[in-house]
Amino acid sequence: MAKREFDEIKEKLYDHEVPVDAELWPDIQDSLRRRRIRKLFCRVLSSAAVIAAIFLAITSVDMRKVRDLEYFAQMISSMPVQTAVVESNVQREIIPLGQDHPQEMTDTCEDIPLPSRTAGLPMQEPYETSVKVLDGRSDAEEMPVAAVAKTDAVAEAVSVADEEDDALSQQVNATVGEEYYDDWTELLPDEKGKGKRYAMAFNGGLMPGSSASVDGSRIMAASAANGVHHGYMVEQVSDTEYSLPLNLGVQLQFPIGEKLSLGAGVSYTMLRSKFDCLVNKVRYNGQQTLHYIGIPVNVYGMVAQRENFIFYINGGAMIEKGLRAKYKFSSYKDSHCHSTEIDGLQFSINAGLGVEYKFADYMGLYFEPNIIYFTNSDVQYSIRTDQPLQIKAELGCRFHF
Amino acid sequence: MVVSWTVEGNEAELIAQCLKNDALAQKHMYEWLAPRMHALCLRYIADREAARDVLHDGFITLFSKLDTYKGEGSFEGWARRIFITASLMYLRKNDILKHADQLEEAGEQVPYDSGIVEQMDARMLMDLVQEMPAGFRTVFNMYAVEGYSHQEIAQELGITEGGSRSQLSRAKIWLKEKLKEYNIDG
Repeated sequence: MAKREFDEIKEKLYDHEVPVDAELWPDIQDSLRRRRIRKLFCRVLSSAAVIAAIFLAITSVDMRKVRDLEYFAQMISSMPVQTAVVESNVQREIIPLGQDHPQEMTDTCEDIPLPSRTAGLPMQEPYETSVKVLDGRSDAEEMPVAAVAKTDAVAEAVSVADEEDDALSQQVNATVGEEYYDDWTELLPDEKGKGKRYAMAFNGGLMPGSSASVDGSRIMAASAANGVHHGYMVEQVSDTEYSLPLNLGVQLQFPIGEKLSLGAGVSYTMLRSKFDCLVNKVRYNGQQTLHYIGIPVNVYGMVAQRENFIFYINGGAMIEKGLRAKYKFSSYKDSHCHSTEIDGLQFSINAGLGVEYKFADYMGLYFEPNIIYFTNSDVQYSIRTDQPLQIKAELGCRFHF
Repeated sequence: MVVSWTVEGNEAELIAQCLKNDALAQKHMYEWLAPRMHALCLRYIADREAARDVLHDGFITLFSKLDTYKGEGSFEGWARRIFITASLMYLRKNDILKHADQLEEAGEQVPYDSGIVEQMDARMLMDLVQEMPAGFRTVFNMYAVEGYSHQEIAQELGITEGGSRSQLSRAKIWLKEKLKEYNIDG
């Protein structure tokens, strides 16, 4: 077969076209949409997982323990010089001067002041006092440090010193019990849940709106009619009747300051609009339902706390992605449903105040009125387009831990 | 906003809009490419239903990987490779290429009227190519129509260059026989 014939075949076949059946494009569109939704859900879930991981990382640091340690350090530094109460177990060892011993022992020895009781003891040769900390033991929580010597006289003196130490330990315990323990308890969470600064809130809200417009109905009716049949012409429309936008969400809150906390989570919103229209001389009842999923981020500032009530203010922003726009179009003779994608992202800012009633130390009910402004409300025609400034009444349950 | 594209000279804008998931732009791109890509799939896969499925999967891949097109070379050439890969994947998955290697030797070289190809229109040639055994057809399509080298074909199909040449040689003999039949019938 000659090259010329190959070229001839290539020329004829390369740009050859075969018509495609009409159903293929809707199938491809459907697959693309499902793929996008899957992708979006993966992103939302990943974001939620990251937020949860950060939250868990923050909460895994036990603040109580940190505070306890700080307190303990303070307590040690403020103790009388004669006593040293070591939290771990202490074992005395006698090591002749000049003999090699581990560095940490010497360090420990230097750190602990010698009691004055060793003065005047008959010392044949000088010895160092060494203290070894044994972490594994639990039978001796507090043990005084005493001077020791190698001779019998010293051993006897040590025995005497031990007795004195017991008395001293009791004195120290009494001191700690009376003077410091009260402070210690103040640092611990009290019975009313003081110290519980992390929270998880489940909320639901409604946004009362009263706006109505013919423009909205016209746009929505065109979208609805177009999905039914490309040749449908919308002749007349009524005003739009907006149902109260419904919002559900979950939010995690964690402290960022003494009276401030940051909340982030996931929020779902449903917007429903109804209208009547005349299409090809037939009256249709139309309904548009929009589904949004968003990530709200809010800062909360506590204003006051009176008994079981907490008053606070809040402000933040939310980014939302439209999941689907569903259209229902029905008349006396037929009914159609179809749905389309919602392109673009919806941004909003909000500010408000709230009150929470804590009926248990770990749980409270709250009411949070907010003012919300939707910045790019023309993404998809809805109540947000007609009324970008809205009031939201949110009710929820908050768990504190 | 009402947008209408004339694909020629406005390809970059169409791609940019498709990257923004603009449904209208995606439909325009589909309408522009679908008939040619459908023909391409049918040249590799004789079964019309299977070719339709491959065309569907090819478009999903195309829109998903559109961001990887860097503007080097023609866009249609880039798109063609996606559909060729999708077709080859289908053939591999269904073991069609594997079975094709076991086909019996094609007949002896036969004389035919060398001007016959000129007289045939694209549809007739298409029917002829679709009749070709899968192994021959794949190599023939890749070499004669898409312009792949034997080395590239060998890489794509996981065969040796010699194997590719052999398949093409068989395809030529097979085609000559068919053209001769066509010549006699005609």
